[in-house]
Amino acid sequence: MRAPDLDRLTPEFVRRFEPYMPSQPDPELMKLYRIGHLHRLNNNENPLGPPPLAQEVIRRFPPPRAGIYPSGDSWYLRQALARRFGLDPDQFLVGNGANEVISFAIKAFCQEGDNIITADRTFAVYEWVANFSGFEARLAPLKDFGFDDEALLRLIDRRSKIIFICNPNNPTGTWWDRERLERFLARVDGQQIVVLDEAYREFVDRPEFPDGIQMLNRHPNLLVFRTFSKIYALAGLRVGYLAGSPEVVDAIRRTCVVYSVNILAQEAALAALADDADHLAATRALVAREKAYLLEELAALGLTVQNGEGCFLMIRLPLSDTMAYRRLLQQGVMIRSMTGFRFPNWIRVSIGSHLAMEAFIAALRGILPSRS
Amino acid sequence: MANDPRLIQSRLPLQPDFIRLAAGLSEQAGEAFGLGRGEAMRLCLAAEEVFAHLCQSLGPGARVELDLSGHYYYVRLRLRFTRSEVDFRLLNLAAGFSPDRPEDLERLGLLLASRAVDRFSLRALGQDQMELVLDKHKAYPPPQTPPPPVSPLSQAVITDPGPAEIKELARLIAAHYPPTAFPADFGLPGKLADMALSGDYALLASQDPGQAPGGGVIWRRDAKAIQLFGPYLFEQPDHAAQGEALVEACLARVAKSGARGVVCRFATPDLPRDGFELLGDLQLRQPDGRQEHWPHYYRQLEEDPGAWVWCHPELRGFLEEQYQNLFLPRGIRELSPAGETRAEHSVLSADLNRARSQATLALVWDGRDLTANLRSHLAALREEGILNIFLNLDLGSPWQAGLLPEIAAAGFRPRLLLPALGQGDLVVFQETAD
Ligand SMILES: Cc1ncc(COP(=O)(O)O)c(C=O)c1O
Repeated sequence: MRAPDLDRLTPEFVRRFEPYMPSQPDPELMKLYRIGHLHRLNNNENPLGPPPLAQEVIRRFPPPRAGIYPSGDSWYLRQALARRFGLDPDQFLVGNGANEVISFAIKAFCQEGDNIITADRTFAVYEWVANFSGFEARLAPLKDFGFDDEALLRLIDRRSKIIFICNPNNPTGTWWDRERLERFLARVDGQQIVVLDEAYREFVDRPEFPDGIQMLNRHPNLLVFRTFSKIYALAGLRVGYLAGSPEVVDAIRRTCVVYSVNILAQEAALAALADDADHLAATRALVAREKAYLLEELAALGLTVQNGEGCFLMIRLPLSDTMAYRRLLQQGVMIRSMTGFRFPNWIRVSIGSHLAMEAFIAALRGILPSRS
Repeated sequence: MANDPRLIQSRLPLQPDFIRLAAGLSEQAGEAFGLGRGEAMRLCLAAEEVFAHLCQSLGPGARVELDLSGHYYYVRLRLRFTRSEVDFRLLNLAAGFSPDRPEDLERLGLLLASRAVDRFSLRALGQDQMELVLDKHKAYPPPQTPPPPVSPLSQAVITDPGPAEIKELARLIAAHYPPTAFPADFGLPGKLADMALSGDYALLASQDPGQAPGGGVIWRRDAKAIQLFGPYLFEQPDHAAQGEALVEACLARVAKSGARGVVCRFATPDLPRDGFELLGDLQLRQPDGRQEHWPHYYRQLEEDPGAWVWCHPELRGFLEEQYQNLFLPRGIRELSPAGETRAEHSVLSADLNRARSQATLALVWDGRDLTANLRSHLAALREEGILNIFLNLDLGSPWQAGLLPEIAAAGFRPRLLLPALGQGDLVVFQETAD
């Protein structure tokens, strides 16, 4: 049999693209790093796990139902979201994680020659999906670790379709307040779709922090992304959603993949929404407590820290972040090395249980060159 | 690709009748792509030798893909062919050379061809395909004007230098650094500008509007690694801070390129040592007999996922030490030859850089004559005046790892480890006279 002629079969932009290699499964990593226990502080997961009712739904899931197709468009979940936020169910689209809804939006609005705009040091998937779909990602450098509105606006041209704002920003934790967001939207004046990625919105407890979903009625070009992966701790089931004006959501619905959210994910997400009051409060309290602990310890170590909103913070190290990754992992602590976010020699650590935070500090202390 | 005006593709039968066509094509393409008359003639000569040699080794019926491409500062002649059962031992650079008969050198077509070009490389593309690459560089004049005066930048910002600034950088690097601190090419303003234009190299400068650059950093993208040069700083009181800013900006640029790591073989004192790991030192022999240290710095760009590597028991001690120093998670699987059947003839790849007096060999196919083949390569390269001969062993490939005793018998010693830059980690061996 002849080998396929991949030069002819694959588009040029795909050939240029480097495949993304997710890290090996934990047991494989643990074997190679020779560790018996792993604190996962690399993916901003919630150490409390899902809300109790969601846990219950998962535990009681009747195995035969795995043989039955789920609702193709997460019908009940959209009803519940609509009730929660006072919108119409048709203003929501649910995807296989917020990652999938990023693809939906880009597919819906971009064609050959178009571009998207975002920051150079933010969540990587906007840039990544644009690139591998053959669209240009225009990147505005962060300013003082935050999204720079003027720089973003300067990048707009006739072919700009979507501007992605991550609020609060992963990984820097910086954020725009309501007023700044309003000003930005006024400047964009409906010419582009503005995506507000609020993956970490539920961690924030500040009156001046905007709630994108409450702003949708006044800004029909606004799209808000949220996820059940972070505070709701359903990352392994993959559920996220977008909310927008009925017209914009209707446009995106044409490109979205139906049946991509599985039955257990839909039910667990529904249960999580129904039982979140105590869970949200408990998670915020844990993050506040453990962040305070970390900040104190890191200050004692004399390290520079970038901390804002969200369940993570960034630390600048006097060694390469990729070396730090290996050395911390050899002590059973997995963090995110930040070169891949264009922050060489920084690491990002997720806020975990107190035990994990202590393990992290102890391991970190062990790898820092002694200060003289 | 298909309509790239700087690429000429052809497919020729490997018959002596076509030698003149191959040579003429190379010469004319060379001139069209900017080589001077003399350089184009040398490329023509190399093409003739190589083509004649392939006709002889691969035999009738074979075909070769012959491409010529223009890269601004050099023209590349690339030949791809399928490994034939007919005497592929002739694909060795030093095939047929015996140390007892150094006059044989004059008959060795590939080696002859390599003399006419600036870089010669022979490598395997897969199971069946081989590729010969010959690069002929354009000649450039040395700097015609003195370097611009430098002064401390009041507010250094990192910028993408344009062609004029790149030429300034070349003059400044040549004026402020010893020749060992940078590849000679960087000191030729026109060449550095063309190197950037070609896309093989990229630069960032530390600048203040209206002033000459205070510094710069240069990098090159190879298959899996970024090679970083510098950072070069010109009389800047805050050279350490500017150097760090340049290197970090470079790292941010290459962070999402898919490269696995950054290697720095031309580190200046301003390379922030904090952010890099010292892999080790190679010893470079100089024409005057001196030995020079050649430190290699490295940092990964990606999170190391860990790996299993193959190794011969005799290499284990060296590897364990390297892995410990670099904190690399590796499972070692030992293997050694156990009398299994081997092909008769081995093939080595060779990357030859005469200006630097360096050659790097690697294993393409194993064969019972491996030690003898390595020895004849060493002898031929020494006859050619090459002072520094290295060999890369890929630990991701089990058959290579088992060959350690034969590599050692030919006089190679392991010197340093380049993590994840081959199919697995690469061990760099250096030929030692002792
Ligand atoms: C800012 C941001 N947006 C979106 C996502 C994607 O989340 P998911 O696909 O798990 O819903 C993440 C996850 O890391 C994130 O950090």
